[in-house]
Amino acid sequence: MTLTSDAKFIIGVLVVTIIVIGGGAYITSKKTTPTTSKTVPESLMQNLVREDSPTIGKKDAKVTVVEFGDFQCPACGTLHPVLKEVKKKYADASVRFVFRQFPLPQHENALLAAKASLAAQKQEKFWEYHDALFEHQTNLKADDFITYAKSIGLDVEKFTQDLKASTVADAVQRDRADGNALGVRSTPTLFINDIQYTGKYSVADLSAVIEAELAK
Amino acid sequence: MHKGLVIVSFLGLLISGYLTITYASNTPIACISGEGCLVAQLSPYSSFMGIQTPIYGLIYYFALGIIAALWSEDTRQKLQLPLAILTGAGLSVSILLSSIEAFVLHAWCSWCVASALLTIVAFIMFWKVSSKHDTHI
Repeated sequence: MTLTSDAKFIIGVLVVTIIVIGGGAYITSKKTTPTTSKTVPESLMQNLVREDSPTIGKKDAKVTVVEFGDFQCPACGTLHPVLKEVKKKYADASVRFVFRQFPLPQHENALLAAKASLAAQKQEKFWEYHDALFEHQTNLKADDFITYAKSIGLDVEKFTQDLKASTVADAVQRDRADGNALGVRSTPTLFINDIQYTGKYSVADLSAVIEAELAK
Repeated sequence: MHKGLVIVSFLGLLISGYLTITYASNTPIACISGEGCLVAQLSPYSSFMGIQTPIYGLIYYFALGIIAALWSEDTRQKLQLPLAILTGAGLSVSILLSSIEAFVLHAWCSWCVASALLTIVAFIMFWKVSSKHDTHI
């Protein structure tokens, strides 16, 4: 097969392109700090979990998984079933799960959703409401919040009152401030003890970090 | 040379090249629109057999470019089968990944969609050149 000068030129450019991409990927991967080394400094540990933060598991658990989340963020919606599975897996272990509010301004109803979940927490049904919101993530209009409250058996009158309470709004602001202090820039941001998790959203990957922390 | 496929190959290399570098640097992908890119990047489907998905894209578009560069009346007979396999495999993988985006992740990564469209264009180009001639495939 004789190569024409055009073919030689194109193949040459293709090879150079691949070398440039490969080199670029190699250099950037070398410059990147290993993900496991990103840890929360001791001085900021109190910003991870507050006394009234919605929690599953024992307070003195060996491992604490904290999610800074936004009910309207698609990535949080993807993480939701994975975390649900992880919660089930470690239900009997010394692992605690905490949800912190980090509604992003670009999500129209995220702030209201955050407040609604905290209003549900006042009736001790945060996690049921949290699941309902994530499972209906594409339907989060004002009326929907009442529908989901009814569906999990909340006292709707109390729920709507709590939703307007300044304590709920303040709790959301405090969570946001804590997130900002911890360097949360996007949602979901997960912390497993003092490690900021940047791996994949899979039960296996999350379990690996949890197991390592349990083994410490 | 098949100019159309050369163009598809370079556009595809730009997309998969960008994704490969972003994956390697472990930084969030900038989505053309929406927020599905991060969902796809952090999902378990972002790698297969320990190799990140964009690297398969690089191999596909590189191979496509080589075939396109060598394509001529003389080489058509020899290259038609490899081109059929390559464009067919590319299209099948794109359909599979798009289905995962639609039904599993419920999120669309604009880069992945752009790449899927390129695999469709590549397959149509193969279809056109093969239907014009007696292929014996």
